[in-house]
Amino acid sequence: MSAPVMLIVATFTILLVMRVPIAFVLISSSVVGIVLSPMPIGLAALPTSMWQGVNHFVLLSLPFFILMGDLALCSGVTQRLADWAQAFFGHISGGMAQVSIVVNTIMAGMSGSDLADAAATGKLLIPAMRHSGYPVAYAASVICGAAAIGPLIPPSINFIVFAAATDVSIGRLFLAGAVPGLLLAALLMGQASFVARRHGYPKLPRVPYRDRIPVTLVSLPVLAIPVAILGSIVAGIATPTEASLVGVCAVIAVGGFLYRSLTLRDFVDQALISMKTVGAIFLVIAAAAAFSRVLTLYGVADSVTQWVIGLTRDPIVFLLVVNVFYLILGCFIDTTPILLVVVPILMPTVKALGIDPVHFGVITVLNLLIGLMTPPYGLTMYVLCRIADITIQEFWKYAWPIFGTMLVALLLITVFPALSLALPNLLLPVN
Amino acid sequence: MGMAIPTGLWALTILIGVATTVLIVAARGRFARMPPGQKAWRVIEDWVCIFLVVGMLAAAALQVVTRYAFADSVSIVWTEEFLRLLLVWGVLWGATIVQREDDHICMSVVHDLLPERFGWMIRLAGDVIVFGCLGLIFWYGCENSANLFGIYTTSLGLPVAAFALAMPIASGLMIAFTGANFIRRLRHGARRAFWSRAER
Repeated sequence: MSAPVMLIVATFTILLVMRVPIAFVLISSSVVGIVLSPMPIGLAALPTSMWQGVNHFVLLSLPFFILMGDLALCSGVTQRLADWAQAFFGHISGGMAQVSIVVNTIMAGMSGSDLADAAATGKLLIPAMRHSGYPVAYAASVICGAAAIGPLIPPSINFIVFAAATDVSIGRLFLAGAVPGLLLAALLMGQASFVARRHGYPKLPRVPYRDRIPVTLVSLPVLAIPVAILGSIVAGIATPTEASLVGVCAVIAVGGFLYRSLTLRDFVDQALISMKTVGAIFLVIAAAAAFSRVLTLYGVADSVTQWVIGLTRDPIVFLLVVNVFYLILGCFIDTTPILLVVVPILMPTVKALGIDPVHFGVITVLNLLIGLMTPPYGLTMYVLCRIADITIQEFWKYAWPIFGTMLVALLLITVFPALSLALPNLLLPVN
Repeated sequence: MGMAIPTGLWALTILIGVATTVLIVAARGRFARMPPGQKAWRVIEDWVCIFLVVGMLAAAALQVVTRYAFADSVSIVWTEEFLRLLLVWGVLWGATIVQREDDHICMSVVHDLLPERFGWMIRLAGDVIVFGCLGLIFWYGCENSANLFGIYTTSLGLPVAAFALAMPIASGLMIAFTGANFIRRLRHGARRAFWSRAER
């Protein structure tokens, strides 16, 4: 490692530990890199790189998908989905836990953020599960696991950021996440059923078929939104940006006009929340664009590739090591900086080892989602502990098996690339 | 000289402005309990933010409608550039709001383990670093924007500086908010230090 690169890494690490916002950590490290560069690059390149990083076609859909998710949370959608899921899944062993997983799986088709899904479903379903006789910490841990399905099933904010960092097709990434998302949902449902039988958790009475029809009719518009979004992208009718716009309009129509839950005030509040989320993410994207140019200047990614290939040429071994690395990193740092800083460094190695970048994207996102569950930077865990009013110790008493189930899903997805790649290869093959 | 700004752009901008004002009036309850100075800024901040969101939605909707409903017989080519312009301004405006709220993504794990007084000093040092970064972006952002005033976009007919100016303006606002956060932190920390000495 050359002296300038060591200084860049030292600046990055020290400022990160000092609690400097990550965007400014990246900018400061870029400044160090530019100043130490033997090439005549002025600091004037900094705002230009940042501006170019933001002005990216792929990122146009991100604000709309974030807005759609935020609007969905206050438009009565969650309640309708919970009613529908109770009618169809409440009678299975682990009743309300199954309902929570199903609601999160469907919400995943409207919101690409697991934090937002956890907050929305947690507020509604944790009290409902407590009322049904489930330990509140178990309820929180089930929802924490189920919320991780959100960014796997399209639309996904994490996949869009990954696509922006790597120039991988968003459409293929969206499709690649669908099967792993459903696999995780199935594993969590199986685990919930096993736990419920073991601990004697109650299930809801079976709803007669004739009573399921009106519930389905009421929920049908909500159930149609995810299908419309993904369907329009897959059928080639809409680009991801257009699909995200359709999603926003659909949520406004359903929440505002059909269910009459979404008011103008709600729209303003949610739009402001969305823009804050977008601002926080994009500032990191802009700073990471500048940082990534500096790393390219010093050939960091190539050096990493040479080093890794010297150690192993087995893709599975590499992916397993990367999984451990991501899981540790995810305990300390938010998903967006990892996607923007670490992924571009690893990408040349991924390509050199013959790993499909789409498969790598799914593995990366699932790893980072597991990281959101683990302390000390487990944001989803913190949100749910606050909603449930429990300590982290109480949460983890019940969360271990769910964490284990997520690791099993990660292992399966890592070892069997077809789980991620079959759908995109079938519907959106690379020419 | 660049080409003329499309008439449709003016019309759309006015419509977006009216819609934004209606929305802000409908949500005026947000500002009910704020002191007058804060209220004035927050109304402006929210108005700009909602303008950008509504504008992005309108520009994207126009694109989709002209493409599918009119099968490209009515072509409004400037909508994509307009959407990008609003995106650049929107994300940076959102970033300034987050800076005002002192809520940007950071790693706080190690900092939270530090003794309170030491942690306070580290935060102040962090603010100075943020100042430095924003100062650089502001300075070079102004320089870049000044250079881009003579170059015009292909379909909007606006100077490219309309895009580039977002960077110095947002960083200028963020400098002001960082200053306010720094002073608040300094006062808060000093007060805490005073009380802890008095208690001893």
